[in-house]
Amino acid sequence: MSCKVDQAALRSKYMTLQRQFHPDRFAAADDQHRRVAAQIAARVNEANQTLSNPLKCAEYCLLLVGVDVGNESDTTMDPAFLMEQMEWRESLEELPASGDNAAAELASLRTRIRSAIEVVAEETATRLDSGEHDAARELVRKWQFLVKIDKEAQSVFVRLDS
Amino acid sequence: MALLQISEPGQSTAPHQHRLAVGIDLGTTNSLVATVRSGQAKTLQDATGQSMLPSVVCYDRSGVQSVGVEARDQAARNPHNTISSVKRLIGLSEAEIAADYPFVRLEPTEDSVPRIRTEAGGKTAIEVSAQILSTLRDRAEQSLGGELSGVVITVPAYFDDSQRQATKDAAQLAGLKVLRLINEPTAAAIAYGIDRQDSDTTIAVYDLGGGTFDISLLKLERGVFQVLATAGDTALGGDDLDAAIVRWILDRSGLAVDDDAGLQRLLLDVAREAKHQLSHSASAPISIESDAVSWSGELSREQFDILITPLVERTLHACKGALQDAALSTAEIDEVVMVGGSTRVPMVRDKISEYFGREVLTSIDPDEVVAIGAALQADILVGNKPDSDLLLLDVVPLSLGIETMGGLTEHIIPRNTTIPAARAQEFTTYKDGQTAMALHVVQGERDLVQDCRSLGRFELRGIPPMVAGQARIQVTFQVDADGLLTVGAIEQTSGVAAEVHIKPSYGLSDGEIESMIRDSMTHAEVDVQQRMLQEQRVEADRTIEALDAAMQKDAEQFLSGDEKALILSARDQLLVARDGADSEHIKQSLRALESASHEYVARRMNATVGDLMRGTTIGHYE
Repeated sequence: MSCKVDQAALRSKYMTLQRQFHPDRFAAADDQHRRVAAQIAARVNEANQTLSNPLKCAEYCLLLVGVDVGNESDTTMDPAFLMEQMEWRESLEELPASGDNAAAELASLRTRIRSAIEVVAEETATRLDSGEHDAARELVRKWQFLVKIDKEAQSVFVRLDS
Repeated sequence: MALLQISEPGQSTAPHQHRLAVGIDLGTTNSLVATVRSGQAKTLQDATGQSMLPSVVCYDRSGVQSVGVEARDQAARNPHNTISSVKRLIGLSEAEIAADYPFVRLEPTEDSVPRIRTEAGGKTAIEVSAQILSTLRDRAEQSLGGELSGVVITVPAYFDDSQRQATKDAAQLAGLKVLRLINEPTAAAIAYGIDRQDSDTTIAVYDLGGGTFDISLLKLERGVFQVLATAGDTALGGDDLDAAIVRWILDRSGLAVDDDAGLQRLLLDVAREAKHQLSHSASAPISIESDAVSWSGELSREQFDILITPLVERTLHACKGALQDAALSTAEIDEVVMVGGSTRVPMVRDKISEYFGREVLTSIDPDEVVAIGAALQADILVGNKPDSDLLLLDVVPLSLGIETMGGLTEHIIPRNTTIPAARAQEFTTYKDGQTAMALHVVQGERDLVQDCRSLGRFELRGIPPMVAGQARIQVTFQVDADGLLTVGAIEQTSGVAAEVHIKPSYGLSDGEIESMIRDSMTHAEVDVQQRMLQEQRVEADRTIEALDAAMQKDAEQFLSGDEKALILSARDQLLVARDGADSEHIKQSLRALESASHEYVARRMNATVGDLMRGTTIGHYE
């Protein structure tokens, strides 16, 4: 199995389905058709949202083989990874409120987070391809952490910029 | 039951017939209606040639006394029975109105919908809006010479579920079929054809109306309009520009208004005239002549610009806030659309162009641009342009969620999810033998329920008694293309569909709306019975025709012999009812046929999905 999605193909399929089933296409039809169309369109939207987001797509691929990463009770994690996360989080919190220094520091931190995400995404794809689901699961959990800290860095960036 | 539509999306059952559809801009100060005629979108005018209908309704003891210009002009004499700016109140609770608009006199009431006190009794904001809408409907039907098949109504991008629902209810009350509610800034972008651009576009819509200011940042990305941020000032508009001129006149002339309402009105009229003149000339002569006073002077554009600078600065401040919210710089804005009469003021245009560093779009009349965009969309939705490829996808403006333990919000459908959307969430009981469960649905981004908007409280009843934690109640949230939410629930282990009791926080229930429509109809002079019978017959004919065509095509493929017999018997019963004179009987038979053929319709649609997706799996996208 592969969780690599050709985004252009996905987009064109998505638009084809929406053109067919969006409730606007049934604006003049009766309630029953509008209801069924809305249900289908909602499913199509959900599918698109999952497949167009690499992390969500990987989570979904694991779900297909019975691994639910969204509902995790196991909280153990690679200590080295956790340590790095804590360091990044601390640097984010200790960033000065403004100034060129803060901006430069944040930019470098964001680059590190982004490249970590790329590495994890690539590695996840490889493991999924070769059917190593446990390894893929561990990677997806790391990925989730990284996306979260990336969002936090993004909001700090907006605050600094304004 | 237009089964034919499955193979021919976008087409009406009578594809060659041009259907009448309009777009309505239901504004705070003024409202407009527009339609597409011979390929051109134009606003429709009243008998005196006016496009803009002041959003003002006046009541007297017997009911509605006047709507529009007449109502506005007598407002000063009859303030307690004149309702203006009702859009500010629609979808709000009594407590919210009391807090934000303390001068609005509310009638004490038992039910959830606040009523504004008038001589004709308490009026809900929904009813007042319905009056404005039906005035526009009458204008459109007279002007177009027939009944409207559907309308598109615009609402502010920041309107939440209850405000959108209330607007839709008002339309229903006015006898209008709503094809779609669309956001005002989106409509303005459609009017300029921005939706037909190939590349992704970020758009700022600057809307300075009579009494409100809104800035919206939109992103059009491959057919999806997403609202990135909105900001504004609900008490800033053209009226404030007039007031600035009045203050200047008073200052220069030494006149005193005191309590002279007549003089005050005269000054405002003179100020508005001067403002209009300054949009195309360098100075405006001003003269005040009345029994008591006489003064004349001249206002130059330079002086006017100085007077209004603080107001324009306030709008720029809001623009800055919106850009910050969306994490965008001015350089990332591709288009700036100007909306609202006050954007005719040259200095407003100049300042906004300067701020965004680009020419602003002004070629369409800023008062009409929203209605025109709505009309273009209505023309497509009603099926007049079957070849149109345009699809307007929208997103949920604010997250939808429920209250969980400790007054916290759990988001079920996050903000910016493309609609229509559906999500299911599982809940369980926390007490042995528990047979009911209360859910509180809220809308907003904040973590605490008290900081979000309450949309409604739902009670699920009829859960079979079980040990605590054993029941599996699946609650489904569905958001339709207008952004409106419906909630359903089913207990999974027993398969019992729990009853969902909806108590709208500040809306009308379906029953209330129906009875209001019936009440309003008994006052009308048309023969209601006859009209309803005719409508049901047309619906019956349309349904049978569509069903026959579909069954001839693929009944063998999708239906067993028994299923087919069931549908045919329901069809024959409808045929009998159709020739009778009882509209209720036809309606029931229609419903019976609908439910008999529900499975068939679903199978046909799913087969179409199957055809489109054939051979496609996740692996296929490698």
